[in-house]
Amino acid sequence: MQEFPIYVSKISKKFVKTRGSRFRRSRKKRIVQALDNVDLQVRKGEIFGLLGPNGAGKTTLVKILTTIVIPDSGVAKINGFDVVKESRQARASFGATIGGGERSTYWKMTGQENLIFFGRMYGLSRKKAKDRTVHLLEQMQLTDKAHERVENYSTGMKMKINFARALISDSPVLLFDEPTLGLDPSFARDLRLYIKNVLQKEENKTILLTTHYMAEADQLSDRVSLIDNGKIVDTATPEQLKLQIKDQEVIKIRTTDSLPNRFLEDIPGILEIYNHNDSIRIHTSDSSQIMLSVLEKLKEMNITIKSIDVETPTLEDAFIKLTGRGLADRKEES
Amino acid sequence: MKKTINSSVAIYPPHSLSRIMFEVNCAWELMIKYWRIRLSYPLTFLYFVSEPLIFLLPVIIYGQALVGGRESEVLANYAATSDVILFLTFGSASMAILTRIYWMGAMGIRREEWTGTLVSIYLTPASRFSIILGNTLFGLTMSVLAFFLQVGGVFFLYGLDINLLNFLPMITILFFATVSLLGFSLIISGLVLAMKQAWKFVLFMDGFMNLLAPAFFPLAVLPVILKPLAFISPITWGVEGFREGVLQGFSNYWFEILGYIVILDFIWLILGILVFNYFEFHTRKKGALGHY
Amino acid sequence: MELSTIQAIIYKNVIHMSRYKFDLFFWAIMPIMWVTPLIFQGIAFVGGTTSESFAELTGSEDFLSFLVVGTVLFMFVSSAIWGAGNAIRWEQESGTLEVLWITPVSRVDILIGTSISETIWATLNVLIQFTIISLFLQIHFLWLGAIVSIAVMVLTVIGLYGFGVLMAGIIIVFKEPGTLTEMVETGLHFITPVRYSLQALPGWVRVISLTIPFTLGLSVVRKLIMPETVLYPTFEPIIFVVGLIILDVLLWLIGILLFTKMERFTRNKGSLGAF
Repeated sequence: MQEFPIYVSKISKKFVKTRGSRFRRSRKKRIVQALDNVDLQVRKGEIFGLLGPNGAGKTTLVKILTTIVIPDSGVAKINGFDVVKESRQARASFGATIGGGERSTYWKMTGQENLIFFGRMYGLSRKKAKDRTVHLLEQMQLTDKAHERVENYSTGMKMKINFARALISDSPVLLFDEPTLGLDPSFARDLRLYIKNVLQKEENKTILLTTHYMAEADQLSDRVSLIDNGKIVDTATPEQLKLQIKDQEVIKIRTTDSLPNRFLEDIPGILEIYNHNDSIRIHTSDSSQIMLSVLEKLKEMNITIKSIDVETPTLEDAFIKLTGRGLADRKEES
Repeated sequence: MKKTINSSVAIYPPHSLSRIMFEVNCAWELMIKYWRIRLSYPLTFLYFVSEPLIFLLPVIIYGQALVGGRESEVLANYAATSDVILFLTFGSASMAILTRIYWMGAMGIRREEWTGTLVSIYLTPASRFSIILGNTLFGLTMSVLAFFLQVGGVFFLYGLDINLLNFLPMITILFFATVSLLGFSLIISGLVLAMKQAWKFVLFMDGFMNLLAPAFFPLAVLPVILKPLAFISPITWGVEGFREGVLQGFSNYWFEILGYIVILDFIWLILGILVFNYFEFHTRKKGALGHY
Repeated sequence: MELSTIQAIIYKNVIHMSRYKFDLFFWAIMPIMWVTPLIFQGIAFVGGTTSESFAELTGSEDFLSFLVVGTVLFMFVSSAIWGAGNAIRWEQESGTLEVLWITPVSRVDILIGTSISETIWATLNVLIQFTIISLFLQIHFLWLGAIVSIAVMVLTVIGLYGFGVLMAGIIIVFKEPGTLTEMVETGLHFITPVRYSLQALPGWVRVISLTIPFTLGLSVVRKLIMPETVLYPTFEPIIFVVGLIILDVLLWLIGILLFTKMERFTRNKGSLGAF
């Protein structure tokens, strides 16, 4: 079992949330099970996606792996080092970004000073830290901003310098928590390509990334774990997950008005229906068979149709099938 | 024997000596970083360096107003000098250095929480202890600079009769007192990390310690009920020893004070490490690290 | 000037203060901690709480009572310079400044409201401090004079807040408020007669000191409750009071002028909410 650079076994974590005034006795305690018996093994050189809606427990897991949060039970190891008992060795083995990261570097120092500083904190010699910094600034296309204070950077540049910070130690394991969250689409695309082509293919890093963008997980990951309510629902390659519903087709209808619940249920041939405000996704084995009945039903109810598409299932459909719900507050992005 | 899977540029040093070197390096880098950041606020920097002198002037004027000059026979009964200005200058100077050392150490983690960079630092393999040491070193270097300005200022304005050789016993005291102050910083850091409201309490304690520190009066005039409290404060002996060193050199009393400080070093440092580790663990358990 | 705005601001701030009861306790205790070392210092230097040399300078031997008045009343100076400026700065940092600024309210009203609520807070503190100190220490005041002193303090506080508004103007431009305020506070502690009389200061410092409302106000209050003290220069107290009134008007005029200018300047630069 030691050959997994990222190894998680039976990790659980509860948080106690208190509500109400700090000074009143009637404080209500609510226990949130952030992670429930999570198992995860990431192979060497693999990009592993952790996919789930906000609040599913993704960030908690990353925080445990990065030694920021201590689990209640279970074992987690990075590069063979226990994150609780050998936390410093573990920290020397990974680079990580947590959250947006706009504020994760020192604004009063230049980009270069920041990176050299963090390199030194990983025990790099001054020269190595400098070389690595120059290299990373070039990769992030920040060379001309190297000697400018981070406070003068744009939001995107701040994200870039934080990303470079995670790479400064050239650690074998990389943990990225929502790496493209809040980035502009073109940089998000560049970053994904960089993760895939440079970090994985050239440098053979082992990478765990969390995301709630289905497309990102689909595009980058060799394997994906679907996480919901603190539990791993399924782990497989994106293709395998999609294969579970491969014989299906999805009819996607957008309408001008909100749709009532359960109004198509009596049509034979429909496998599953997911209704969300003004759009509806109908899973079926053969769209041509049921299309007419669906349209007739909509006409009968006086519902105006904006668009109709027939698609092959995506990772999102697999997620919906497995968890019974979609990804909350997901955003479409290029 | 652990096998590492991938060779990496950054590897946590396997031997204890190289580990210590690594931590010292980290503390040093942190100190440099604080200097960089501090220098980017020129006004604040200027103030920090000049404040001890500005603070001292009213104290001296008040002292002179009381005795009507700079010589006090009453003071000579308690201390090794009758010169009010000499007495106050080194009392105040030592207190400024010592309080800043522990204050900077204690503020370090809090400040990283404010700027949002605490988590970034926590992700590196550097020990949390080194983070506080780095801050302490910053406090030390900055307050030494302020010290020269302060003593230099008084020398320029009033003139001071001191033996330069006595700087050696003074520095010795400073070094040993810093160790207990580091322990003190660890306790405060731990407290504030776990309970943000503890900040007010820390300010209160700081005020209380300053009250007991014999910066503006000799330890002997402190009322009996306050003495036990003063005796366990590292500031008290630091100030007393610092001034004794300047006035008398390696005297018997100086060695006695040094003895107290060494004992306090052990107590405060061990207590500091225990308290900090406990609260830091507790905070990570709660998942509240980096919240503010 | 809209009275309802000022009322609303005061109401908001008083609610805010009532949420920080520990703070009141904290600030009520702190000055005692500042005074105590000075008493020990007196014991060590002159062997008691009276000094003849002190009387030569100030007119009073009783340096303990002398410095208690100064130290406790200095609370008003602190609250004036920390109050207005840092309230603005605080809003700037918590991100509520821009929200407050887009309400159709005069900025000066906001400052006046803040000043008044700060004064309420400071007065409460001062009263508690005097009560506690008189329980523990032997202080000798003419309590009848204390009643007249209230009027003098009101005049002093008005002037101090004019100065506070001036500080607020500087603070919204230079974003290092803590330092600036501390600098001014430490400086004022040095040049105003908190612990000693003006005579103890070098000549040029005395001249600057006399342009500060607190110097005038404190000197008159001391004369009222400790009649043996001497004013410097040896004018009648009424001249100090007239000077105080002139200072009040001047400081408010300059304060509002500067604040409006600076506020416009930051809006032109687009850095109002920035920190």
